[in-house]
Amino acid sequence: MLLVPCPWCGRREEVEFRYGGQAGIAYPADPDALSDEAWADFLFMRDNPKGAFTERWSHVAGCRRWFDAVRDTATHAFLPADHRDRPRR
Amino acid sequence: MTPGRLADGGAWIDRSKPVGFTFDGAELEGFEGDTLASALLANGVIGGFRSPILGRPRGIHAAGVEEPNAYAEISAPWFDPIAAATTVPLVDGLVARSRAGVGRLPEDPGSMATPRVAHRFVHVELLVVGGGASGRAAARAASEEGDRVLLIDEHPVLDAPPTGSDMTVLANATVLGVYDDGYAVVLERTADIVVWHVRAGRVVLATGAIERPIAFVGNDLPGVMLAGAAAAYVERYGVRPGERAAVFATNEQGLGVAGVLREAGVDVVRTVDARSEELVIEALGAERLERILVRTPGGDEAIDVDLLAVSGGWNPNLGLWRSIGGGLRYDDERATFVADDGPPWLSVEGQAAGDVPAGTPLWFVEHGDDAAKFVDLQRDQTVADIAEAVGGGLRSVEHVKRATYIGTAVDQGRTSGVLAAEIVSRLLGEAAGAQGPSNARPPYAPASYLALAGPTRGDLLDPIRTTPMHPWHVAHGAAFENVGQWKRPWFLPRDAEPMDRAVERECLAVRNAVGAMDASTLGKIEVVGADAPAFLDRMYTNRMSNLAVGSIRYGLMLGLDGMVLDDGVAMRLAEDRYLVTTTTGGAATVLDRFEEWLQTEWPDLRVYCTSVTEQWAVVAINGPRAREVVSATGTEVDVSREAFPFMTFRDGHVAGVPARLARVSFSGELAYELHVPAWHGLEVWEAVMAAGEPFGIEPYGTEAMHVLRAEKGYVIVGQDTDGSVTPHDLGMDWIVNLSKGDFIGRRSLRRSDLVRTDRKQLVGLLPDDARALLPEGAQLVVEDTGRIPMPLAGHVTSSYRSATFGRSFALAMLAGGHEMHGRTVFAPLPEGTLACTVTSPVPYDPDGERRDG
Amino acid sequence: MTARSPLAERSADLGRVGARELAFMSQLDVRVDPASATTLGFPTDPNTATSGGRDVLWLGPDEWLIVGVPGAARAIWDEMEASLAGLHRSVVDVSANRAVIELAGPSRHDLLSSACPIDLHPRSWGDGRCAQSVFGAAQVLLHEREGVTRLFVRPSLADYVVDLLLAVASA
Repeated sequence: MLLVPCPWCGRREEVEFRYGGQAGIAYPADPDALSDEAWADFLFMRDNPKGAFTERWSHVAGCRRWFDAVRDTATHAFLPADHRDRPRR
Repeated sequence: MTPGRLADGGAWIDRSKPVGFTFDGAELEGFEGDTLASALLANGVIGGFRSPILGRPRGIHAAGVEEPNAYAEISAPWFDPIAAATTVPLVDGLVARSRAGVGRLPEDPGSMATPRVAHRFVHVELLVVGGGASGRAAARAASEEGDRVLLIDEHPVLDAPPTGSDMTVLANATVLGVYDDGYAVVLERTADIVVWHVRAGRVVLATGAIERPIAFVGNDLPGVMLAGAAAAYVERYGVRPGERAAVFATNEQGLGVAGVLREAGVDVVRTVDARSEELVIEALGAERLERILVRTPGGDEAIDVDLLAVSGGWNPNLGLWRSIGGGLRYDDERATFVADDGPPWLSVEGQAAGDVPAGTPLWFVEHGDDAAKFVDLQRDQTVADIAEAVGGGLRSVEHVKRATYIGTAVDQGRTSGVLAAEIVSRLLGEAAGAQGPSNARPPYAPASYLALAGPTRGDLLDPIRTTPMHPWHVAHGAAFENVGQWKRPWFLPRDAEPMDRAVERECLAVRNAVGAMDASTLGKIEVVGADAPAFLDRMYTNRMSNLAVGSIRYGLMLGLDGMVLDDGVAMRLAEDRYLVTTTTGGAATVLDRFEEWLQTEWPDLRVYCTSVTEQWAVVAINGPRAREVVSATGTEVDVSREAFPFMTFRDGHVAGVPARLARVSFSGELAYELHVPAWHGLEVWEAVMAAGEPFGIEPYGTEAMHVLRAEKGYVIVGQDTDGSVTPHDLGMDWIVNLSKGDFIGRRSLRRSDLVRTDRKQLVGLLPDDARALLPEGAQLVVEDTGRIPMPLAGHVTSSYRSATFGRSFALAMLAGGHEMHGRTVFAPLPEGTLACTVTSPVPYDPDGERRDG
Repeated sequence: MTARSPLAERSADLGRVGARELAFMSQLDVRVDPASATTLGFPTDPNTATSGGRDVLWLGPDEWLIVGVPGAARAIWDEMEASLAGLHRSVVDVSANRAVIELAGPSRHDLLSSACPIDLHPRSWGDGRCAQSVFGAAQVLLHEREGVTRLFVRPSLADYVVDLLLAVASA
């Protein structure tokens, strides 16, 4: 079980959180202007790197805040927040 | 004095406390502090065990949890279907029976004495696994720095345990597993069980090293034992494991066991030093070791012994290290694997860190039949079995493991893992250490389900959630249905009537008089702020911003993919304030969604959401006499049709209690919902039931509620929908406002897949046989040819007998259903095919006159 | 009016674990921006609480729970609405939305630590601390004040919490 670093409450047990997938996918400014393919890309396509990955988490059993965190998908370790995405070999 | 017990010595036993026990029917004696294994050896018993697969005679081989042979069933004073005799503490009245392979339950499982089990969460700066010298040193050093320290050891005794103000030392404690971020699960087993959930800032593994055997012909005979174990029996338990011994070792420490044995009065007749090209090439005996054959550069000799202490080197005990991602590298001098890189919070000390004797590498002796040289004693796998796997083309240790099962038994390859990996490398002509041993997995040692479950079983396995009116429902004989974790009244039978009679009675009461239902479980959220109207316009398919204060509107919520997610009603309490309801199961999900969108996409919207699901208890009164019942219950609110129209609400009092009265109907009849603070839920329910008696009020449950709403064609999200259904599929285009601006799911509604005309669409079904009940989930086909395969056209989502219609009916999702009204479709069932006519799903009171009453 | 608190029937069981129900406490959920909250004296350090005639518990960067004596909810609501008038805010009466259990005695933290992963050791926990977490399968809010621990839980899960306390106390 991971310890998830909530920016407000500090590191808490994973059971208090909900995982929110890849971070930084903004809702399109003009959905009507997107083709079905582009819209499907927004809806369904997500990166899946081995290594550093910026993700969203929500502290649902705690302060209920959403936040971004960077985590190494291979070692599970949360990385310092300013770690740039660098997929492993 | 029993034959194997020394006159004195034995640091872990208390000779002033004799203990009686039974093994395979024989009554024997030992001392407090003995294990079952040491007590057996003290009584001259080393064998009497069998290998699980081949049934070969086996004996005590080691002194700890790495024991591969000596397993026993314990039946008193506790029950353990199978335990290593080297780990069973000797207590008075112990009854044990040798056992190989799979354990079994007693004939009467209820007779098993079960220990009490507690679980505890504990936070420490340092967890030290292993109470030997290096573990104790690490614990002491951290404690002196002010850290909270937990030191654990699997043995019952620690030498010189350290003390400190925030130092906890646990004996009889095994780490079952080490997981991410310093989380460890520790099983402490005394008379009772405590499972510790440890969060440690740092973890030190001082888990020692496990001695490695050597594979040679006959190495599995009782009497062949790990050298360190032989010494441990002398030093810890004052036990002589044999009378006449030889020592076969690749390293100095192993050879040194000869001295320990001699001091214990064992006649050590030969040491065999592999560093000088001396080898034991065969162990011989019928039921136990009787003789060894030794080969030296000078020739062969046969020697009579009943004990052979073997040391092929030492493997740092790194199963926990590896299971959490720690790496290994091969150390040539020590002929073993040591820890390489690992997680920053995890380290190894002492023997586990590679502080083990140097020695010459020797995995198996090249003389004689490889099929008689055992590698994994618990799996009865030999050098020949490994050779067969490699000869069959397997190159990886992991593949050889799957082919031979080496390392997968209870001992998890503690004595066989490295040995097997080196034999594979050797057979492949690779250098020593080319491949590491296969991974060990948690639990490190066996743990019972009883221990792991702790209090989370029986009624506590899953919380049972109840409403404030629950005691009334129970007292009135309600049968309950699980709705998520909630217990909701399903139906309320009178005089032991069967379910279908009760549901029929309840439905007729609602249609013809009045019924009351506990609707408290519905989700409720207060949405407050200047932008609340605009926010709700974005979350629902229809417009909420133009809802008048004091009015109520039904709304549908979609996912981004355009599929129906949840529904409910919104009440506008003020210009900037709404109360939103959700389905029972959707309450948490909807609130989470609201927060997700507000926090991550629209932080500039001035909206705050607060859950009030359990602030309000809700009594739903449905039926033509509902208005009269509300009046009789006592309220200052004018409940007349003119003053209080359908889909509006009023704040006031009911039965003397502050209340919000809402005209919402899920049954299609005249209906009032009374929302009261939950503390008053029970008293208001009772007041309604008392006031309603002259009008024939009946309590009704979720089954009747389902039938009544289905008669109106109202869908239940999660029953008639499954996350793949759009508003158009449900015939609900009327609730989708495409001109109000963007809302969640809007763009997806015009995806090509969502506009196909052959999508499954909501229909009503009337079976040709009006008494036949379609099973929910029944598949539908459009032709009754019986040809297989049949193209599936849809399925039944809700199905009931209707007292109102006097017949059975159903709701279904049917391909192209909107265009199929009047057609016949078929439900193939095991008992025969049912033909049905497709209809519109809104048969009852289509103009809503009864509801608007 | 005969109001009924969620644990009205469980006082004997609560007594067995050194606990009692604080029935009908006033509870208000207040949401407003942190700067405005500071002027009201609300705690802005995460997971801390202030105590006085009433307690204010930090639930999130823009959310607080005010806990007062029974019967005070309306007065507190009026006061908050007046103090925050003109600001973007939400003040909601949630008095019945959580049951309140007060645990006393030296072993109360050990009891809670049987099913709650929060670090309740004195170096991490003490008077004026609060935390939202889980106790077994129930979401709970803990508040340490003046040598007792208050546990707030949804009424529908209050019986489960009491049952779990009883189970872990006897283990």
